[in-house]
Amino acid sequence: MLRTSSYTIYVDLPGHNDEMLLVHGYTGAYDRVSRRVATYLRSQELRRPPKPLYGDWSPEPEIDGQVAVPSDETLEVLKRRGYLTTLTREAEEAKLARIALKLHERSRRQAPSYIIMPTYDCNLRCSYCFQDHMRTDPRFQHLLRRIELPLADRILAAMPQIEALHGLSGDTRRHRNIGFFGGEPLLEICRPIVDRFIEGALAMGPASFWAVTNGTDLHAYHDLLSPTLLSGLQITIDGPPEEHDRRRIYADGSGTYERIARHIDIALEQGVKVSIRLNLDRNNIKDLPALAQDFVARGWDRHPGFSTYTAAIRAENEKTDRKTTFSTWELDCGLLELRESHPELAVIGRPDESIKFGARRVMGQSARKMPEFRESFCSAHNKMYIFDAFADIYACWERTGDARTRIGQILDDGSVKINTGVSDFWRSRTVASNPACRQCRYALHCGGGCAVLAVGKTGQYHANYCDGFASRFRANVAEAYLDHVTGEELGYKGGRLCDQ
Amino acid sequence: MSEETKKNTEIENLNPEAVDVDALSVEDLEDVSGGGCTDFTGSCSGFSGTCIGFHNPPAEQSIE
Repeated sequence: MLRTSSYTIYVDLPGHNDEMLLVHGYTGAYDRVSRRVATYLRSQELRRPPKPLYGDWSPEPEIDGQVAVPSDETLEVLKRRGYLTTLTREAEEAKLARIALKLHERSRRQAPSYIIMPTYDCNLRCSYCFQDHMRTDPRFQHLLRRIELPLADRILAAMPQIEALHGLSGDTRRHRNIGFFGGEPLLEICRPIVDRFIEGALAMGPASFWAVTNGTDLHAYHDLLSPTLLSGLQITIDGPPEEHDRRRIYADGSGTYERIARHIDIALEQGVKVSIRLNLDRNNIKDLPALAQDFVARGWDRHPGFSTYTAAIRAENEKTDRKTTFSTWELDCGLLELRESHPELAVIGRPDESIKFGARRVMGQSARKMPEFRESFCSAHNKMYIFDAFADIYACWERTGDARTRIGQILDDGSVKINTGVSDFWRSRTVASNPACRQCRYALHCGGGCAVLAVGKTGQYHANYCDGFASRFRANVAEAYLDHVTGEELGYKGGRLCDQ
Repeated sequence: MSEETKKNTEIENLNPEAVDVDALSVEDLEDVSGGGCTDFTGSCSGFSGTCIGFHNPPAEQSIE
């Protein structure tokens, strides 16, 4: 029996009442259709999709207007593109799961990405930090050690062993991607460790290096800041100077804005890509125009390597009041509203620009390609390896510093021991590994959401964390299409550092 | 836009038919480009203001 695929996504186009977009959840098709065709498809759905077991209900547009059967030609296109199907709902779900698992197997065979945590220590005391306890609770004092040089050598020697686990070995031309994270990885005192990793990795083959850093001690890394060495930095700024200096503070309470700004100047001048992350909540979003003006006044937006992105602060510790926080969707709506009266906010990236960019890229394709799917949310679930000062290996940088969650260790003899149970647990999370995502038409566009946020909300890692994705996806695809038809320049510079 | 939809005002394809992942083996899908950061995209929800979420890229392979 021919019916509408359970994985059909309907996208309204603001200001265009006679047409809308269709996106398919496992064929990767994007189509513009008349509202008549969309109404027909809505009328042929078996039933409304079930409410997710957890997470938010994703409202879909109601059936609007009379139902008229499209032409035979249109029906054939709808079948070919996946919107009409003879598969049962269960058969479609099984197909989505097969696709997800196949993509996941492919991802797991890709080259690993590495993150080095030279220390869990940090010179700042940001109240919302998820690692705050490590610096303020004496019971975690033992964590605040640094990687020693012999361990750095063992970590470097472990990389080819890990690559062999991914079916990759013996290629001395392999380009390695190595990031530094913490704590604060670029503390002045960590310079010898960072040097060791950079020199050692380059002795093994080509490599690129980046860091997530608070930017306060970059003077100690001045000579490494270049397109060929430490070539990418992500630095957090939490508002214009006065607000930032209330949030991103040293242990003595003093602020950091001007110091960080000087270092950003130097990094940009030396050709480093600098991505500014802005952690926003209901209290500091109003300060964004002043911050944007400061970025422009400093000339940062004129550097091709400069970008910004916004993220919603989450209430991770008891110091953060949940009532002050946004969801990602609420943050985006707030930003859009501010942009109407403050055009200088064009230098501040919206949280979902990557969704819009991805859709624009698809609409600009001329050749047949792989669909742009994400079967899992991030590379904690396939190829990320995080090393800390205890020779422990982790999958997720939100879950480090606890031997119970390590996926492996580097032993004293330099060999890599993988804790199969924990590793398989992390590496098996996909949209196929929980029933809510398997039935969701957005699954392969979303990836299932952050595992750590999922466990915070549901108690389960293998659960969905939607964060309003349906609304965000539809809004951004609509914007992408409208930009596409007007020929708007694809100006996305990106922001988040990534292991692609 | 495909020939059949050029004159069809009811539906316009915005992208060519994508590869049918279900019909291919993992070996056919494997990305040959290797590791390394080349694309700054991601959509991490920003857990506690620190997680930046690594996104896995689609394979930029042109099949035909």
